Amino acid sequence: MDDQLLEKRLDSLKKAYDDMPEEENRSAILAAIKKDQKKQKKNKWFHLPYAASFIGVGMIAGVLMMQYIGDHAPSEEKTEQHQASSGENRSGELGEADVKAVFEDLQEYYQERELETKEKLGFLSGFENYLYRDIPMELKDAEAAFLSDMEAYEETDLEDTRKRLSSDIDQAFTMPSEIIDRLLQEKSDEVSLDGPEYTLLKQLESFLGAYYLSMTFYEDDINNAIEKENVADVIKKMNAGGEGISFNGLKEMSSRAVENGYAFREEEGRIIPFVNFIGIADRLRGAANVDFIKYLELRSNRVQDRNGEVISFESLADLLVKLEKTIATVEDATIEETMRIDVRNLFGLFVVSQHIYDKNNELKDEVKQAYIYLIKTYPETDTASAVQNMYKKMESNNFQKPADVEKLDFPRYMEIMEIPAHIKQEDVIDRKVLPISDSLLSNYKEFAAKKNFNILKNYGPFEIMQLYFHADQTGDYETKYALYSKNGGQPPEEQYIQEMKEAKGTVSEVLKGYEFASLYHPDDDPEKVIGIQLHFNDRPDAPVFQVVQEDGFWKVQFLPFQ
Amino acid sequence: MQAAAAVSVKIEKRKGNQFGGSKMNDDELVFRARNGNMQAFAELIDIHTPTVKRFAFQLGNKYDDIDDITQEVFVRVYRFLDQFSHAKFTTWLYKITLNVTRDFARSKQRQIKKVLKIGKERSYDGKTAEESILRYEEDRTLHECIQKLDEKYRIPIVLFYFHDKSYDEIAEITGASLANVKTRMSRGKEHLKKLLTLAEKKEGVNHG
Repeated sequence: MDDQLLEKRLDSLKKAYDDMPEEENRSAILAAIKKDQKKQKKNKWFHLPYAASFIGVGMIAGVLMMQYIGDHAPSEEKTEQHQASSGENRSGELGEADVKAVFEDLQEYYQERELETKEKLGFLSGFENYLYRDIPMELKDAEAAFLSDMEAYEETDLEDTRKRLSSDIDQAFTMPSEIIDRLLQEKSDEVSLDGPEYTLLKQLESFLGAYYLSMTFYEDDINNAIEKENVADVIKKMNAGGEGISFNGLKEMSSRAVENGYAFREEEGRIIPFVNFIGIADRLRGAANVDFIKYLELRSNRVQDRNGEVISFESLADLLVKLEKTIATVEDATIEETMRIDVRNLFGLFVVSQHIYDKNNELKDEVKQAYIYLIKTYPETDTASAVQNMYKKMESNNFQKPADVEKLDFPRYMEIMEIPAHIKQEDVIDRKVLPISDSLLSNYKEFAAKKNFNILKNYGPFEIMQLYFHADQTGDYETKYALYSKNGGQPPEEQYIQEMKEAKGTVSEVLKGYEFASLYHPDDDPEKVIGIQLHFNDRPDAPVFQVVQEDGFWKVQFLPFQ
Repeated sequence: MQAAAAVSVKIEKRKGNQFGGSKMNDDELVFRARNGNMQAFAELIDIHTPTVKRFAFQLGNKYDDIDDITQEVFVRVYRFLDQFSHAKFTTWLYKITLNVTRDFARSKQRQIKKVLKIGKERSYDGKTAEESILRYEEDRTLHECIQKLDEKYRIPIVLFYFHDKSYDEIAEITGASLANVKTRMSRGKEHLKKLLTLAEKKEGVNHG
């Protein structure tokens, strides 16, 4: 059988699958959910609502997370630190003793790692709550499945399961500090969802629950410490890694918590742990991916309190603008997508969620004030325009909660652009022109000082155009002049600068409504680039910013839009 | 042209996916569902049920079990909705379906011991549910051959050919590396060809 035939057969099978009958299941599923929710409420091992220090995600139950690992089953190729002695039977058939031996080893391995992790978290013996207590249960289930039908399995199945579960255990017990160390050693040019950056975020969430629990365990120590000195001093010492705390247990726990990226603060008379995103960002600055650092900084903004209530709508407005501005400078696609998801959640929280209305279903005054604040303070942003649209709709409804959920119009920058058919996808540059990214800014500054094109040698036409607009926007006409091709017939520099200073308006105004750019080729040579075409969402014309390559560097044609 | 090539070109391509609705739509619905809007969750169920069912069936579950599996998938989605934040919703849904299927296989094996095996359960027209869905014998044979593949080959093949997933997406769903996905795809196809040839030879013998 050849590949072509197989593909044809697969295609035919796909069609048959696609024709599978679609029956209505909604009501049965919803009923099952209701039942499950009741059961969950009854069985909750530990429930502690805590402050969501994560933007956008509302209440993330880290404690629940600890009970749950099934959703991210890692590949069997991952860590194989633990090689259980499986008592292999060379014939490939599986014996009951082999199965029992493997699962006994896995149970032991879990216990070992659990104990070791408690130590690494700084918990003294006596802290009796299990970490990831669903793991031993899962091991038991898997063992029972094997033993109940030995004939159905082969030795390789047992080995595969062993590897998978062992890797699950390793993953669950990976300490944030270990990932931080790894990130300090190797910089990722590109961030991926299963890379160390996202694993760090996941593990930070997981162990936060454990630190919450530990607060009860160390309550006596904390109370005694507070009796001696005030809460603020105790917290200060805890956040300094336990330095100066006379209670050994509390000291050790604080030290490990700080090492793992947590810190403590007072909330409603209690000391509580939180993920110290800023602290982690500071530790990783210079070593880890720049965009990941930006993300950590954004995550340090607390949006909701422990009950899920928005702490300050004005701060939420600031954060939404920060996100818009940061997204424009982010280059990593995964981080950008993560931020965009956060924007969707936060923007929803800001303009349509139940939190914005009071008991009488009227828009809360502080929310209204936050909208006005955002519109006035950041008039140039897409976020402000989007909020203004929502505000108008609400105003026409007398700020009453609408019967149906309001349609959510996200800020313009969140929309996916429509690429005209005649533009090749590879020519499209889906980035904002301004503001320029940090790395571009730093090279701009160097170029502005030295006027040496070698500094810009790695940049293409789009970046050169960005620098040109940036120079114009900041009134740095000297640098703007320096970006021109020398053969463009421009006036002498002094005259040019003088004219620019006297001229009203800036070239940057051209960018109003800018949506995306594309490389522009001459008709007779589709390979050659002679400009950057700018596309706008509010007008059909797409002016071309002309550039020219001179001595291997991209330069701006004098009067680039003419 | 070197400098021009240095211009990073990226484009966010908007396309529908196997799970029906667009991403924006999913995110909005998830957001509302998380805020307690059951209507939004019901919409998620409506949009994604067909694909969950198809995927579960393609993974080798019996058609009679598909409804239970689908139900469990959405129960888990709802239970862990709070924790869903950074991934693509559909990727998460595929992962959950995989996990539910695995768990279901385990508990099923325990049940089987208790139940008297009476062969394939027939529906009123004398056909098994599988026979009603896959009307052509050729399709049924291929379906069965796919079920015989090891899970590590079966899942990538199902996702690639029946759900139009890219290698990257498969890597994300299965947690395997991209290189592994590629190897598994090519090995899986080789295995599948062999199984299919073998199965068809057998059929030839039976029929002839």
